[in-house]
Amino acid sequence: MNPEFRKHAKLELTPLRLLLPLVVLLLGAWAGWVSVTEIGWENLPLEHYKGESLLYWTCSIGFIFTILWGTYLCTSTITEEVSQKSWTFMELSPLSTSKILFGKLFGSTITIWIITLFFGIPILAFAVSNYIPDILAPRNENITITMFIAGVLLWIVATHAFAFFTVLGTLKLKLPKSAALAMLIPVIIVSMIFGGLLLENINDYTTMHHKSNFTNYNGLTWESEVLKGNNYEVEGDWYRYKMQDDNWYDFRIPQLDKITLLIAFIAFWSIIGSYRILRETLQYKDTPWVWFIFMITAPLFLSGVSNSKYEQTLEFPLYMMNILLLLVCAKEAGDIIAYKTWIRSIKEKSWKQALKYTPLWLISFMVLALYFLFLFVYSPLQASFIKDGQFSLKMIELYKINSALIVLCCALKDILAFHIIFWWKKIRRPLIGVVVYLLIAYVIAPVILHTLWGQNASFLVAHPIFEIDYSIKNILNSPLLNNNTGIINMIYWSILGSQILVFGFLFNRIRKSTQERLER
Amino acid sequence: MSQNAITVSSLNYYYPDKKALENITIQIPKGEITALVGPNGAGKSTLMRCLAGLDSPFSGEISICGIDIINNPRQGHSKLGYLSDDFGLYEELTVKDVLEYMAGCHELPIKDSVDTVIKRLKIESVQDKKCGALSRGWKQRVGIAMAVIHMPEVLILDEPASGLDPEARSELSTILKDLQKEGMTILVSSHILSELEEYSTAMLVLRDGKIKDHITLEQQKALTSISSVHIGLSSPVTPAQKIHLENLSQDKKISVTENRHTVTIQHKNEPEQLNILLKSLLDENIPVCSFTPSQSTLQTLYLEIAQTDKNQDK
Repeated sequence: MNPEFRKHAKLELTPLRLLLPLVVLLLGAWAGWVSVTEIGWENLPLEHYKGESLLYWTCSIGFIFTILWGTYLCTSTITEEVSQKSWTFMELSPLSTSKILFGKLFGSTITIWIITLFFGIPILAFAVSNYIPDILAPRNENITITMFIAGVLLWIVATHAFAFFTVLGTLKLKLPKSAALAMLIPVIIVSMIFGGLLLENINDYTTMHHKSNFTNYNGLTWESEVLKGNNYEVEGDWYRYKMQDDNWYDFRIPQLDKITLLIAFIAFWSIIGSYRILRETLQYKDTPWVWFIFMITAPLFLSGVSNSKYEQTLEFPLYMMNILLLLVCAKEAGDIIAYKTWIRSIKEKSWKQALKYTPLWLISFMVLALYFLFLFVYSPLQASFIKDGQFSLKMIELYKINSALIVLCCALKDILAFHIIFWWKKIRRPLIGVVVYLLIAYVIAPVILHTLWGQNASFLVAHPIFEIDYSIKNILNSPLLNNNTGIINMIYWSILGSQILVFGFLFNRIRKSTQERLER
Repeated sequence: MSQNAITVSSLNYYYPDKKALENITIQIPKGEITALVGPNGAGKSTLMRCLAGLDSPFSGEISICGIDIINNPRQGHSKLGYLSDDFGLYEELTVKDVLEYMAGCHELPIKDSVDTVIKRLKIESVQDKKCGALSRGWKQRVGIAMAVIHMPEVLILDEPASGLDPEARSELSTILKDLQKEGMTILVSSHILSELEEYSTAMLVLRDGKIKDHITLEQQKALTSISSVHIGLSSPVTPAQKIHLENLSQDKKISVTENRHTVTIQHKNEPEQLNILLKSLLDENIPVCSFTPSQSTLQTLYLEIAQTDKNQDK
């Protein structure tokens, strides 16, 4: 058996830790089931209401044990080992990274998994099967239950793995244990949102009404509205609004399946992320191909998931790539030794070594640049004009080229700024410095400028990269509209260009002094 | 096949604002117990962590029993054991549990290897106790047991004696000598040089991230064959006696205290030679009231090296 798994199982699997949550879960489930004795206004069978109550009780108790407690357990495998200084033994063991990861993720949460798999999931399946009425089922009930259960299991795995990744990443940045644990709060909040989405989508399968509940409103009648209308599904005296499928790009997909797919995607990348960061901790140095794939797949996948037509455009990946770039740049900018090793490897023409030490922000920047090139070729092909010379909505495709170029330039400016902040010895907490810089550049400065000189002024100094208002493009691409605002466009580019030059100059100075310091 | 258990060449390790290790090149033969000594901040722990594959150096090569530890750290861990100065055990697990864990990690037959290491380290009496309940001395033993359960060829111990009482230190010394007899190459750092003397066969002096000296037992013996003899006199030394004493001194020099009541000469350290020296002093009617040969120890050697180094810096 995997020794890491066995070690954690020995530490965690005690009768008390197994029995206490089990008793609480069973009592809660029992209370949820027996507490409902009357049917609701929808006039559905009593089992529906009992199933609903059972589902919510189980989910609430399950959330406390699997997400809150489970997340704490799987992350404390790192924090505890670091604080009690047994981490080195694990680093020294010849165990493979995958075995260590599996042991830590599932060994530390073994009690939770035993209770979830043997008790929680059967109770959930029973609850959902009662909750979903037998009539007017939009699809086979077993498929719905399977997708929901799969979603729940993936949700737990994704939360644990993402928390593990976050805490290990925080500790790798040499931040204290308290900071690592504080990072769990946003993880739990995000997890709650996804749990809520799963529940919300299972609710959609249960919303149906009896004919007697149909309200005669503004002269609408059961016959005219429901029986003749196309928005309802009817079976005998029962009706429901037609369930709407969702989209992943142009593929039709039920909403529950879509959210499960999204959670699966997050779970997959969280596990991969945890695996890679654990390898890094164990002194493995890998080539950055995983990051390269992630940089491409994550924005493209998530762009398709979004319900917003705008975000489904080619522009959404651009912004997401930029956010990822800034995140890794903030992580890597301070590692001067890694840069030194990278440059030495290049000088020695040790290409494999150089690839291993290539900063991930550089990979991200290259992907961003490639995407810009793609837009440069693709977008004009999508643009079209109508005969009278006015531009059509498709003209917006052309703006993407300009937006992409701005994002690229802003990314370059931010990369330089991050390095200045991290390499400047006087800044003792560079991570906070980076946050302050981003706040000033993209929130405070535009707001002040907007207040003082109006909207255009704020765009002139700092283009808020997350801004999706088309008016930005109207200003920036003004030569396409009229000649008067072409000056504004020129001023904008001059300011952005000079910002890059100033940051470049400062970076070069600080680079030289850092190099001299290292040589001493 | 190389006779060196540890080979390091041109090793450089940088912290963001300073060089921690600079151009380290060492070769440690198999079967040696090498003492790694140096002042605080010299880079001892960093060097040991690099050797154990826990930190990646900026440049250079490290080979542990022929395995490139920088590029294959996990493979190298099968050949080496390492115990840091501030290691911790899994407090809630029993000694047997943690040893079973380590045996499992090394894919060893669990029962046999655990029983063997328990006997070797003589920890039978605490094997069923929780690690959190052990004293510092026992924890140290369990830590070493965890580090050597897979019978590594190289054992690296960072300050293993810190915090141990005299009895536990003596036991540690015995353990290390036993492990050496079994063929293990040991690199051990400590501040307590007198203790290193008991078991080390070589000394590696590290200062400001640079190797200042690497002395083997043979070299040490040669250096310690001559020692200082402090001769106390009941009356101040006369010029005639001084000349005679100078002739007796190995380097033909003597040092005399201000009150001329104590003379130090260099002489061979063997008992017969010291006996001849004493006889000669008495034959010459030199008023000897005390006779103290001072053994040149690892400590004095280290201090001499450190002093020479400081002088060179000046």
